[in-house]
Amino acid sequence: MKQDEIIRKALSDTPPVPGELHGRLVHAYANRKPSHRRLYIAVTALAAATALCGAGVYVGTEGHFEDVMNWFGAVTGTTYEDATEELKITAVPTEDGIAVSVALLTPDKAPYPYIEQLAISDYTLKNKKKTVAKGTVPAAALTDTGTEILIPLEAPLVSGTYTLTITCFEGSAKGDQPLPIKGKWTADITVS
Amino acid sequence: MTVTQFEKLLQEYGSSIYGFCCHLTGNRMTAEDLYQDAVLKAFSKLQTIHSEDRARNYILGIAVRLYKNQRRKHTETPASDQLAPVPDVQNVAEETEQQELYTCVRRAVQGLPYRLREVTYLYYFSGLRTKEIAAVLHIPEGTVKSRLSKARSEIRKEMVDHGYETR
Repeated sequence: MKQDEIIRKALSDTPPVPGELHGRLVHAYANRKPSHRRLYIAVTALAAATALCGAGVYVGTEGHFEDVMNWFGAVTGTTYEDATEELKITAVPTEDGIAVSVALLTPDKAPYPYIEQLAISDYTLKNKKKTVAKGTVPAAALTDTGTEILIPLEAPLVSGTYTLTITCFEGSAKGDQPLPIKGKWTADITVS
Repeated sequence: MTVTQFEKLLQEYGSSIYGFCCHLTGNRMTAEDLYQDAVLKAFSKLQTIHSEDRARNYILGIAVRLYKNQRRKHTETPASDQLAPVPDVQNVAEETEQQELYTCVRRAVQGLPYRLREVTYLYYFSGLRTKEIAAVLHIPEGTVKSRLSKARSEIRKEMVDHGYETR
């Protein structure tokens, strides 16, 4: 007889499962608690999807405050994000530069009632070929409806079409840290 | 898996799993506890396993891991189970020559180190293939084969020492 066969036969003799143990296990299986795992996953997924959709809508329509944190996680400041729908700009070329009218669409909503002055923190002026000007513009007083800020230019604009893009304003009030107001505003300018 | 299917599974493979537990522990009381714990732990998964063969291997895998955990917690267990008497052997004198041979083999297997023993029982008693054993124990198939080879040579050595010839 081969060794494998001997080992197999030697180990084949085993006692049967005690009947009581068998019955106990079958009874336990019959009375087991139903698993809620699938339901739990479905509910969690639904909640996550709802939260994400909500966040998407929120981001698109309404501005909100965000903390600015340093590398160590300490809050060092505040910004106001996604304010695109809350401000409206129009730009008109003048002799000194470009006059930008900023209208407050939600003047009663924070932070606008508390802002005394508004500056342009980041803008670019482009024509079809290149960037004509970019940088920051000092603050101008903000009224209940808005303000007008002049972007000074070193040389008058030559005829053509330009696009002014502002990505950040900066609101300030006496005794408060300046508040960056972020979004994306564009205005087309035609110089004839 | 319905209750009827579960009952059928235990009827078909229960004795195989229980026997494996008996061999592994060398003690019926411990084997009963191990068998029960393994099956209870497998409940939640059994609802999604449709193949009875896979269910058996799954329970065997749980039994192996539970026993390993037990051994870690109670260091005296492996020593005592290696020395445990072979079950159902009442009177050695009455055994036929073949029964003596089987007794010798069983003792040789029980004397193997744990790693070789679990592979030997899964292969020779539970009838698992090396690939299945590798899946149950979460080890490479090559390791299973080398352990089996070592186990065979140890058993052969023991058999030769007792005057049996092997092929």
